[in-house]
Amino acid sequence: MPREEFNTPVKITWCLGCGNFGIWVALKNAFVEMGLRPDQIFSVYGIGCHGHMINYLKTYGFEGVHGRALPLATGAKIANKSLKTMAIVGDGDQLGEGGNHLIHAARRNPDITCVLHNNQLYSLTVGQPSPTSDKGVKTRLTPEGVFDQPFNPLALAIASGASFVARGFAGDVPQLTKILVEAINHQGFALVDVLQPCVALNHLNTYSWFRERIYKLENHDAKNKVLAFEKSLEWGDRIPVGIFYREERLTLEEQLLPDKDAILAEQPLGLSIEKLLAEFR
Amino acid sequence: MNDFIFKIAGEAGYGIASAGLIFARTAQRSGYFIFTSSEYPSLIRGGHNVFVARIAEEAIHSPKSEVDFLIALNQNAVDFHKKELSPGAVVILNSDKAVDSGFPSGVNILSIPLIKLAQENGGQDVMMNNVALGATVFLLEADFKILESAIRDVFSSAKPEIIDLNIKAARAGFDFAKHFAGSQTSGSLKAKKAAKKILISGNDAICLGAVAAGCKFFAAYPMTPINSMISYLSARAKKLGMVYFQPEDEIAGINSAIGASSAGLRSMVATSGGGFSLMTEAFGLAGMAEVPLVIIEGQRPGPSTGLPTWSGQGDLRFVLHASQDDFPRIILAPGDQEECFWLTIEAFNLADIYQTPVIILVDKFLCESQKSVVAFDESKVKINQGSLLSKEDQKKDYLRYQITESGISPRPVIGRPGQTFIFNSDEHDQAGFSEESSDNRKAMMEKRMRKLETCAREIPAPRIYSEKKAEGPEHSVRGIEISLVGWGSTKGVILEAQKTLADQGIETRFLHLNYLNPFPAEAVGSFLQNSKQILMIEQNITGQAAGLIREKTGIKIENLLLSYDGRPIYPEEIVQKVKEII
Repeated sequence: MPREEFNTPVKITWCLGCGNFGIWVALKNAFVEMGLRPDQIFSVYGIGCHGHMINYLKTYGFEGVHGRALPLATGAKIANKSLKTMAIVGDGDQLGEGGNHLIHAARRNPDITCVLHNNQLYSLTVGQPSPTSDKGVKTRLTPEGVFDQPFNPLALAIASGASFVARGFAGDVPQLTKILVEAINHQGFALVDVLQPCVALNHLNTYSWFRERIYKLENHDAKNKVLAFEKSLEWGDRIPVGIFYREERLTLEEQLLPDKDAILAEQPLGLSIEKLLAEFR
Repeated sequence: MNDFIFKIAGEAGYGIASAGLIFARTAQRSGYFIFTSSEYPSLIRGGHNVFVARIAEEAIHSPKSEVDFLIALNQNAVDFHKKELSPGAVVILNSDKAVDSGFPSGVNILSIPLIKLAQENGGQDVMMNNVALGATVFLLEADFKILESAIRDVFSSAKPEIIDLNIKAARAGFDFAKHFAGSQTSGSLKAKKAAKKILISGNDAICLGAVAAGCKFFAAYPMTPINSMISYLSARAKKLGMVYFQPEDEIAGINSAIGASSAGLRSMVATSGGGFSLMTEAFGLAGMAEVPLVIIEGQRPGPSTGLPTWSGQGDLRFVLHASQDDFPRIILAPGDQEECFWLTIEAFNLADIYQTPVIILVDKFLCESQKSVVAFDESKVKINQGSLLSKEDQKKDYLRYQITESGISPRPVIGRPGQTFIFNSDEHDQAGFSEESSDNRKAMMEKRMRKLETCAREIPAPRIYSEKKAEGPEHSVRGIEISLVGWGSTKGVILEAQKTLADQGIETRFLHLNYLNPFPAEAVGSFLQNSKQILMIEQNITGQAAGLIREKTGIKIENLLLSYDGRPIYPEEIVQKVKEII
């Protein structure tokens, strides 16, 4: 299937050069490489610049409310386990408003791929610091610099029990595509943190700032949780990208569904309550 | 006694609820109608717990305030409840834990060392309940075998030897009463032939309604008073071919249910006012994205934590207005256990037909009270999925948010092979794409709100219950003197008050509201216009439904009976208020 099959007729309004483009293209590449059709994929979005993608990426889609993409995606995955379910989220969206849901999705292990657009700012609302803004960063709103420690999504995901944890870079579409294919193929909860330069508002974490620091994880044992955790803490002069951690574990659906081989949404309605009534006599 | 109140009271943690259930089952299986309610503080042990059952030969709808048979397990039970006793009431006094601190004269007291008897028969202290029940069964001339079967069923998950010890304890109580009170029996619970009934709580009736309606996804974060729904459905989910999902909070609960619904499952959440506060944003999402969803809101008195284990009707205005801006919402308020069952099925149908959230507004009193009802006739269950597309039709062209005269658009399902579509919380065009133009905005707001107008034409008029005075020359012919209005769970109490008033020569009409949005303004308006005196009865401090009626009909109801102490309203309070008015 050509990549254009995943396009919509809607005109894209992201800023020229926005990291969202790289993620959008990498997602389409991954779907094409995996031989998926638009009707086999469900993309759930949060609110933020990333959420506009619902208008540009042709799959089944749902733009929910800020921070809540993961529970919504989890419900849909339970209803139809055959859906390739994507939670396409932002850093303020998922780590600020929706932080709790990330922890619990990681624990539960639904077969969902969470693609975190991490531009280290609230960009749609013109540049407030986000949970991943580096400490000390000066923005128009923080003339004294950001006071708080940055949130480390990879370390949190590993600690919370995520079964696949990776980081990509929106400026390296081929590598991001590879990571996304691995993440979508992974049976269980996969977090892909994507470093995404915001060309309009983030004048520190630019494409060139990342390119100077990024290196690819090689000869890394992704089954070693302690090592994965150690790598996830690396940030600053050198920033690793690649697959940090992966493990095989039963998914939420495999454990929760009444028939793990059947699609719940296709089961007929209407059930006799005769036997249930007898318990109340 | 052919209509009497049984009460068992003592310290929390002493199995009062299971003893109450055993008694209620015994009475029902003996052929009687039962209505039970419980009172407990928000503690697992140490607080004062009460279980109340009303037993009658004819159908009953509410508790009454006077107690005719009391099992007092400790001193608090004596001190708190001695003033509630009717003349001639019977008391079983646990002489191991309590003394007679001055019962009213005329009360018959049987002191029994309940704990000592339980221990002597090899049981634990907690089995004192069954000693007391054994004595009760003797005093009321019930069949011990029926008590035995009730004990076996209520403790069915316990080890056989534990069940036997419980029965042995009950037998000891029975024998003790026979020995010391052999001549003081009344045949109030003598076994008789009667139609088979079920004893069911509002929560359980909602669960059965959900199962019958084909609910396949239930998400609920624990919260009184809906916890027994979680217990019921989670324990049976796999067998029933459904999923119970325990979310990390109510926000995750409602969002997961919206996700499940978008992919085609009939989905339900349950919570109380505090949890619904967290759900309000996603409540609006379901309205905007047009996703069917059933929400159970079990009210308890607030604000904030309020009285967590008591009852009230203070959330009507909240559910009517929760979430930003206008979107169609349907609000149902079942009046009793039967309506809990049937309106839950109706809620799933309405949610599908109008593709919008439906709230079932209940309260702690209705959620947890049990009532004897004729078993629901499942042949009358009708499932209507509205404009849900078939798999074949979803392969053709359609517009997810097509503008129609009824406001209802075709409903495809996420994940089927065919044409993809999107659900959008942003204002969107007919295809679902984000669209902010003025013309589109107006058209879409009007389309969504038209669904409520369509629904308003379809809903049934509220039921009016009339109670004629007893025949007899002593009553003058004055006709209906007062119209009563109530909504939701006060139905039973008002029906009981009507009966009492009729016995005293006062004829009444009672309009019960169980569809609160869309509001049946025309029917309510004409009922009120044709009333001499009107009394509104509800359980909140501001008269929320009275205000709603004024807003929708322009009629101001002058007489309000408002109760907001968390306790049930009793028929006697209504009778007294009516007499003050006329």
